[in-house]
Amino acid sequence: MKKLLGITLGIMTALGGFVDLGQIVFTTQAGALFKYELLWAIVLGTGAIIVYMEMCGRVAVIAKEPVFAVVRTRLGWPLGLATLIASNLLNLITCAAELGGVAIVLHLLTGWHEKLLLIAATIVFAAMVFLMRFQWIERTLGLSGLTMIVFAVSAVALRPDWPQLAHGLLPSVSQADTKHALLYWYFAVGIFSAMLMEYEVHFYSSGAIEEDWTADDLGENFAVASFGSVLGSLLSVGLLALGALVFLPRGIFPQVLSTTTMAGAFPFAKKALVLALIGTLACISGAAVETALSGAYNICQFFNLNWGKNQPVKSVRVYTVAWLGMFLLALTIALTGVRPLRLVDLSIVFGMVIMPLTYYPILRVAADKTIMGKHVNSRFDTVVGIIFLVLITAAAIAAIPLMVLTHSGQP
Amino acid sequence: MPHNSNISPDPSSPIRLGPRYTREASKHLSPLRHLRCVYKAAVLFVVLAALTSCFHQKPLSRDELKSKLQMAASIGAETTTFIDYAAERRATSRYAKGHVEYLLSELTDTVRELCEARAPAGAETQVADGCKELKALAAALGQLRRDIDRPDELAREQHQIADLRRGIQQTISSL
Repeated sequence: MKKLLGITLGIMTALGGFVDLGQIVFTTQAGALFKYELLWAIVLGTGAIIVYMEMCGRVAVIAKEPVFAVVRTRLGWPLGLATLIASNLLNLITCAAELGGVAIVLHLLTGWHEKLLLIAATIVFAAMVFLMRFQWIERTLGLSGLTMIVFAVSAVALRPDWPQLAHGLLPSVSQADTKHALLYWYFAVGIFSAMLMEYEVHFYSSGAIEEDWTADDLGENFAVASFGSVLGSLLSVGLLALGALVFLPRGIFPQVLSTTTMAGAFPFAKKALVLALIGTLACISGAAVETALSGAYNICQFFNLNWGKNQPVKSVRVYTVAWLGMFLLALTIALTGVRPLRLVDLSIVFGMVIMPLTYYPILRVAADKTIMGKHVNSRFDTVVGIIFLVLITAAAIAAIPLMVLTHSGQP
Repeated sequence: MPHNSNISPDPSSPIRLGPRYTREASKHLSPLRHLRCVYKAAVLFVVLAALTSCFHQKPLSRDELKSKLQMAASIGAETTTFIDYAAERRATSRYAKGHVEYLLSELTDTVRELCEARAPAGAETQVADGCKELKALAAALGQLRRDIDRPDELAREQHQIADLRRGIQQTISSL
């Protein structure tokens, strides 16, 4: 019974923590431009994140190696270091974007000065990370993110055309003109990337070690990675549907975060709007904390230093300074006034570019019988992993040209 | 508060002091304010360096011009939708004010980008018209921000914004 409760809690936490600013923005914009035509990108991204999240968890438990230890041993020092620098720059940009998003939502809720809210929120997050144990940070933010369900409820209440929605499961090859075709693929890559953001697997695999998972917990690992991601992706489908139902018929291309939160409560009254704002706040707060912690995990794991949220601060000094530094630098970037959605565009596109360097080493270790023993990938796991890796690499190659050609997805 | 911008259609926006005044005032700054100035100057330097090296002024292409006008038309469409939403009292007052501020801030950026850019050959009239229409839309949004709690004003402003949006759409069609 206790085990079942733990798994349920894990799934709900994964569901609540699934969506971040990048997904909210890209998916809603995609719906506003292409109706349901990019549903397949969400399905593909969900498949990929299930496969790789499960692998990361399994490798962390069996090989006792979190992602960046794997990156160092498999890619070697120079390429590994380049991956570390690129990943942490992305974590920093993403963290700054999420902090900026948090300040916007708090401003919409309270009317207080945005920059003061930005500073206050960062202090609260830092205090939270400092004082709370890993499990409580993860569960508090993940479970409060469940209020995002209001977006899915709104989408259903607006009565989507279900057969047309199902039609979106197949990629559409014909677009009106070259510009539309480029935009279509830009948003496809964007959605795919947003669902596979590296910090999610860095945080997840580090969490498996923080929570002392053993081989007995591999069932929970599979359940959380699969059911949590599937349920979380339903929220993304809801966001796509809201873009299609609320914005597309009115000729609106959502350009600010407050627009997407309005869509989350569109068929309902004031209370739903507040709920949508709280849900958005919880999700992007979770992402802000995860990116800051991921930055610290990556550094310590790469340089083989002590790390762990549940360790005494004295024994994990570099780790503590690293996550504090991530918060401080991200705050500095956010305080310059750069718009969070611009930062998100950058993090999604450049995140895609370095993604193969994170996922390739994981696949290699998970398929290595000498390390994984009886928990090695099945042939099916490896084949599916390779297929997704090929898709990730193709998307990585296309990401920057598509960003340049579409002026970062401007319709 | 939305991010600052050089162009503000709102007459209540903060006054900017001249460089001479700033030099005089800097003599009396506390160390903390000095640090703040250094920080701001550093940020400004980085931003300017990035802007001058990467985005030195080049003429807008027709596609970019169309895209900017479409973004502005989208803000117009969103505002008319939002006025209905707010008039039905489905938005909290703080959200309503904040949302209009963000839309205005986004539009202000588009106005600046459009009006400061070099027009593509043969589209000088459309750029001039678009610039005028976007400034009028920004002014209307500034007014809406002040009137968002006055339901009797909303219908008139909605009508005005819808007209402006139609004007922008016509400019897009003429490209």
